[in-house]
Parts: sequence; structure tokens; C-alpha cells
Amino acid sequence: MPWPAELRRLPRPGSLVATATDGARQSACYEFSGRLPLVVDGTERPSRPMADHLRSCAACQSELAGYRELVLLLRSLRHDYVGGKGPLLGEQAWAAIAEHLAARSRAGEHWRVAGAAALALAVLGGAALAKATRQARALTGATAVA
Amino acid sequence: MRLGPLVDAARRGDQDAARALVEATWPDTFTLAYRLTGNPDDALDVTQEAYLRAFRGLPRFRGEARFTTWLYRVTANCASNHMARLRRSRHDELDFDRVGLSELADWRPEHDPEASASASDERALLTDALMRLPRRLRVVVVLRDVYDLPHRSIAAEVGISEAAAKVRLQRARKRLREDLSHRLRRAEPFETGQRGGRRDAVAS
Repeated sequence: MPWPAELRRLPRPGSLVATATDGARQSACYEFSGRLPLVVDGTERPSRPMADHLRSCAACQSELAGYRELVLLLRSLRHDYVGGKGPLLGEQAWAAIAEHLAARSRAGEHWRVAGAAALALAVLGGAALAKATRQARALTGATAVA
Repeated sequence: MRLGPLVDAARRGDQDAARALVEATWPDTFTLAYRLTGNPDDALDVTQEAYLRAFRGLPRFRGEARFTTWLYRVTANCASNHMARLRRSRHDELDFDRVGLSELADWRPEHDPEASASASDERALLTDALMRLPRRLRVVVVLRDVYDLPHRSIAAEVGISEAAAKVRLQRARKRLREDLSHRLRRAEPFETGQRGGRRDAVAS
């Protein structure tokens, strides 16, 4: 998960530069902290003032890091299965699915037969058309010679 | 396991392929349904419904998304409908948004409630915290953060706007973090010497 692009140039821990008074900083923390849960994975982009604040506020950086760990931890649940393999589908559900698949299979068979018939018709039609065209040309040629 | 050939075969009506497809995706689908409903019985109903709908809708699956992602969406939609139906039909006082830990503990033999305070596994703590979330928040955070569905899909399957889905995600993450932070702090005396960087970061 990428760190928010606006925060790529973070100061090293311990070298944070104070850019505002404590009161102003706390007010900004209060204002921006509610948005950190969405900023953490890029769902929401931080505004310029927010990004400036995050660059200089250790508390908000720490909170953002906490959300980052939370999201990573949530992602790691993806392959944690509950209840082992669990009971598979009940007989009724299988029966319904099987019936549906059988119908689809039959429909597929019908479509294959219909497709083959259509292809045969097309070939025969084409051959008949070609024959008729040849006969017409021959007739036209004979008329011209005569 | 590559699901593409199984999906193609099932689409043609091959029942063996359909069974293999269910077996391959069952743990994932059931787990998602469980996380969305918070109840194993409801999860089973939702899973069955999801597979029925998935196989009926298979001809419409064009393979642009991964089959599993598509199945997540179907499952999320089924869970949403199922819970809405339950809310309409059940008149008792059971609060599905707060299905208790006790029910989960009864169902999972490996889960020992007495050990929860000292559990060192963050994922177990997180799973419990997820189950304590109101369902409307849990659905969104599970679909987004665990199953990586896009906001637009989540909004569509849950029946809310994309903006509302984001607001719910924001609240869910905030509450999860507060819950984890609280529990980790409470559990601290039992974990002397075991606290790691990740745990510290979540609780910070």
C-alpha cells in the first residue's frame, strides 16, 4: 500500500520542524484527524493545508501510521477462513444448480445442432448461388457470341 | 488454482466443473458471507443463494473481472438482501448489528473466550473487533479492506451512494482502530515483552 504521495518527503523521526504554535497545531489535529482513515490508502487526497500539517505533526503521523497498520492487518484477513472447509452446498441447492446446468447444457446442444444446420444451409446456399452465377455467366457469354 | 477453465466448462453446463468450482471457492465465499452477516446460519443461507445466483448468472459473466471478485459482489448483494429480509420478518429483539462474541465462540471450537484477553494474535483481535462493528459499517470495511472491492461496486451491491460508502468506511476504520487500541491497552499487562512494532502502531 503506497504511503500518501503528499507525504513522501517526511522529516526523519526526531527532526520534526515546528511550524506552528501548540494551540494552532492541536486545532489542526482536531480538524484533520477525522479524515486520516480515508487519506491512509488514497481514498481521499489530503488538501494542501492538511498535507503541510501532516509533514510537521508527529501525533498525526503516528495516527496515520496506526491506520496504515490497521488496513494492512485487514488485508491479511483475506485468507483467514472461518469454520475450516465448512459444509458445502445442501442437496436442495445442488439440485437447483444441477437442473439449471442441465438445462443450459441442453440449450447448448440445441444451439450446436441449430448452428450446424445453419452452417450446412449456408454452404448449400452458397454452392447453389455459385452454380446459378456460373450458369448465368455462361448464358450471357453464349448470348454475346450469338 | 486456475478457475478459468472450470468457469468455461460450468458455463457450458458441466456439473463436475460446477462442483469443482464450488469446492475451490467455498471457503472464501462462506467466510465473506460470515463476515458480512456475523452469523454462521445466515452465512450458509447467503452462500447457497450466492452460488445459485452465480450459476444462473454465469452466462452474463464476461471474464473482465476475476471470477472470485464477481462472486464476492454476488455474495455481498445476497447478504444485503438476506439481512434486509431478516429485518423485515423477525420481530424479536435480536440485534443483528451486534451479534455477540458468545455466538462466534460457540461456533468456533478453536476460539477460547478466556484466552481472548491475552491473545497475542492481532488478527484474532481484529476479527473480534470486526464482529462488534455495526453491520452497516462492517459490510463496507470487509468488502473494501479485506476483499479489495472498489468503492463503486460496494456502493452498488449494498444499495448506497459511493459517497455514503466512503463515509461508512471512514467510520468503520476509526471505530476499529479505537476498539483495537482499547483492547491492546487493556491486554498489555498480560503481554509484557511481547509487544511488537505493528501492535504498537495500531494502538498508537
